[in-house]
Amino acid sequence: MKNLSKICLLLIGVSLLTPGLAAKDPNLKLLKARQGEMQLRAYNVGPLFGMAKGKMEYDAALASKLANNLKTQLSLDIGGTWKQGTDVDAYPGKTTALGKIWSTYPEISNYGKKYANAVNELADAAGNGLDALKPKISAVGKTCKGCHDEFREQK
Amino acid sequence: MPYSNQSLRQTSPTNGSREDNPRPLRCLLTALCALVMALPAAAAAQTGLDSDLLARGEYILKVSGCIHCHTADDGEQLAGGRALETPFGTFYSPNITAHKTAGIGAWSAEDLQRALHQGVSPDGDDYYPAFPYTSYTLIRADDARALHAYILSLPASDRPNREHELAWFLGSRIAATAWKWLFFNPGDFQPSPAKDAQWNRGAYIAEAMGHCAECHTPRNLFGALQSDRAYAGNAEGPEGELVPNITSHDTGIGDWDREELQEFLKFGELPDGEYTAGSMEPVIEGIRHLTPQDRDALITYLRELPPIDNRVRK
Repeated sequence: MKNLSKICLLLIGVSLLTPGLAAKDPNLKLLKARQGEMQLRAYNVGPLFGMAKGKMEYDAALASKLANNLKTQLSLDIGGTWKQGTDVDAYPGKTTALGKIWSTYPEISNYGKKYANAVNELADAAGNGLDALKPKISAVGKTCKGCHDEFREQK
Repeated sequence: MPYSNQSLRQTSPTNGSREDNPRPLRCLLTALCALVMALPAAAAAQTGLDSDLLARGEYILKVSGCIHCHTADDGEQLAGGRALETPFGTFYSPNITAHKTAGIGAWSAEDLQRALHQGVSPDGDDYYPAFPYTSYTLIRADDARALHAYILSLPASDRPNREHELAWFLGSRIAATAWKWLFFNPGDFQPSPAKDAQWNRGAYIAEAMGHCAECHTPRNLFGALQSDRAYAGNAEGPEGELVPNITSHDTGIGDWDREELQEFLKFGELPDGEYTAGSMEPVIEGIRHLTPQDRDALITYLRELPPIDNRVRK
């Protein structure tokens, strides 16, 4: 019984300590912040693709709102979250970002510019009907894939 | 609907009333009506068109990717002009509409079957393998006939073909002939007796119609498929895109369940909620027309592809 209490105490201590250790690595915070921004993009892009692919009904107001959310995201200055050394080699299992993002910089920024142009055009068109939405969301998807192909570890 | 017997039968003009028309004119109109009504049947009899054949042809056209490759972004359907960037230069797809001179309107069904099966034009020129006859060779003759009938029922376009822009050593068709001699053998689809009908049905869709291997299998220096690495993914796919491993290994689609594959083949939605983009997007536009039975069969086949460990990376 005494040993069981010790084991429980030990386990509680470890469980409290582990997040604490993680939180002390500032790079993990950066990783989570940029992943959060990517997830927000996915949140907005997903239904737009769903409408374009016939998985959900086209809704002009919703399409316009989501596309403009993406446009608003473009104004966020989160360059600080893309810190050198926060790649998959340093943080396996935590990120899929390849080190070549930094070793080939500023190559990745070309994808960023293409993405921004595509999102701006999407925001203008998304509320103007399904036929207007389709090519624009397709163009956004293509810029996403281009960057992911190049700079994201495949599973 | 580009063509249907129904639409032709609808053209039966009737102007004025019986009372308004003198008898000779009425007779003439009656004769004209009879002629117009008889035309679809006569045309069908002459060209062998029937609704089942056309429906099968439409299905083959959509699922086999013809529309995407043979239609430019700003162009008429099947009128060609789409650029395909490859390490060997830029190929421009030809006009395959029913136009007699600009397209394939003068081709017989056998001409089309020969092009698909042997990679040869009606004039005897060898095609470059940008036209995936390496897979289409497996398309059955009756499917080729259906495709021919359907294409010829569609509107014709006079859009002229554009010359390919290729590396100097590929400028002559002799290069295509040499390539075929080295790397191509025409073949017929042979069902595997060791597998059930569902698997074989999926194999036909993947190997012949869908020609999935053309993008998902890596190529050698000469642009030929590395058959020992079938479906293991390709870091240098069409337009320089990365094409994923779709074998049953975990670095492929080994961890996808049937439902996830259904969603992907219908909508292009990936298991993580993202959507496919780039060159695969128009492929989905085609294969989303698969019947539920064919989609199931394709899934069965894909899930049994021998696993190859390959994490595709540029």
